[in-house]
Amino acid sequence: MIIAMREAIRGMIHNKMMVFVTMSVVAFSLIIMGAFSIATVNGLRFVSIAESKIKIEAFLEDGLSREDVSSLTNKISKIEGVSNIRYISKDEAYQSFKRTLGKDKDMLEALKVNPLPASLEIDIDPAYKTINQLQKISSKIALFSGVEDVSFGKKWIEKVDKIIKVLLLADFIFGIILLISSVLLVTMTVRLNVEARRDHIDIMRLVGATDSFIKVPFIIEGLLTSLISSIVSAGVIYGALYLLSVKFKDISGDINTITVAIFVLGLLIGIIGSKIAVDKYLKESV
Amino acid sequence: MIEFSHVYKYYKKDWAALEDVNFKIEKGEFVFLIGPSGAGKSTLLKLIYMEEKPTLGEVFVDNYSSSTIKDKEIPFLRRKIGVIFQDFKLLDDRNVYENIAFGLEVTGGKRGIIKEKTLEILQKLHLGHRRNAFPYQLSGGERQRVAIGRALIREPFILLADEPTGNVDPETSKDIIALMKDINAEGTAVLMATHDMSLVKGSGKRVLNLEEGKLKGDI
Repeated sequence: MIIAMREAIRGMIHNKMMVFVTMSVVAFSLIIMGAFSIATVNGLRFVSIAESKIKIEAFLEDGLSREDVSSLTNKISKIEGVSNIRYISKDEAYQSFKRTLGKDKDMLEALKVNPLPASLEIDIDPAYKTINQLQKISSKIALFSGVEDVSFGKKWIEKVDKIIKVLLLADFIFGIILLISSVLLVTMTVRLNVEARRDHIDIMRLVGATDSFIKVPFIIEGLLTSLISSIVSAGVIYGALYLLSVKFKDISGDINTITVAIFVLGLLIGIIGSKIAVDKYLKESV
Repeated sequence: MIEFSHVYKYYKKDWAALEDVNFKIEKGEFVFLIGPSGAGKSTLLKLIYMEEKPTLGEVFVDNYSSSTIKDKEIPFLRRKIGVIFQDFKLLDDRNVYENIAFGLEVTGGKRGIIKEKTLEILQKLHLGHRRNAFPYQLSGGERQRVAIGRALIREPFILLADEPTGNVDPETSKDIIALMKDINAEGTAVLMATHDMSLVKGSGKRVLNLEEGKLKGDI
């Protein structure tokens, strides 16, 4: 192991310019990946806050008796996915609307009659907050007598769905591109070093070194290269997250998890990249 | 110990580098392999340390056979064979001591043992005073002695030499041959490929004569 380590460091010094470029690019890629994952985590959190506010409103016909309302509530509560129901009387709706109007409340008062219907505010289990499920539940509710209309902010939900999809897709594509380019870069750097030490490898094989013995120094080299990138990028991500969390209390994402993930990802890039490089060389030159 | 049985080697379809080669080398023998350049001498040696495998036929080395050996067994076969070349194949960034020790280091020997054996070899090959020199500071003869040292440190049962005198002056050639004979006298078999007939004449050793891939004589 000591010999392997010594060989790896010899290789890195020999190849220092390329090692430096690789370190920088890998670190840069890792930082961008980290930034993306922070944005995604926070985006998804924002979406989930927005989603928690989604509810179905069932507007009732005028003139329903207390018994009618209670039997309707009972029937709705039996629908799968419904978690809680709150009755809002015509009067409550009127008061709440008046509050919303503020200065313009005179318009409402000028009407003399209360134009707003009574309604039921129906909370939905989080698992049922998909556009299909909400549609299903709404159409069941709409069939009950006494219900005039049902609404659940379809457009808003569609928009949220789209945002989530775009966010995840962008993450995925960027992540893959950065990952592949980082691995390729490490592969190229180690490959250059492998080529530069072709004689060395041939002599090792001649005196009976096993393939795994030949590989280890190069894998250590890839690992050391990416270790430094990992430390730098994990440090930057940690620092950025820390500063953001001080400034905006709402920014989150588990700082430690993201930092560790970036660090581990960096090491994997190093190991995989250098392994590809050496394996390929050894296979070609049997 | 080494046996070639109806060995053919084709690099291209209609061109045989070796054709129906048969011979045996016994333990402790000294054998010259002669023939003009391109006769297939290097190919024959490569078949022994299994860098190449025969297209047809079978090569037996120690307990291994070319037709059954697995790739991962080849390093273990090579640990029993020493090989030296015309161009020495030394590591330029290491000194004499490190080049010789390299032969044991890469197979994961213990430090103390590596040191002990390297010093022993340095002394045997009269290279002790040059142990800190780098290959570029050495003469051709010295370089070849370092290569021989690296091959011998594993105590191989045979030393394969591919034109070992090709890059040195006639005087040094004689020294190298003498050294090879000493090594042989201690029990290591030697198979030496050369096209320099002057080295062979009067040596009293067995000679395999290779011409255009065919074994023309075994004297």
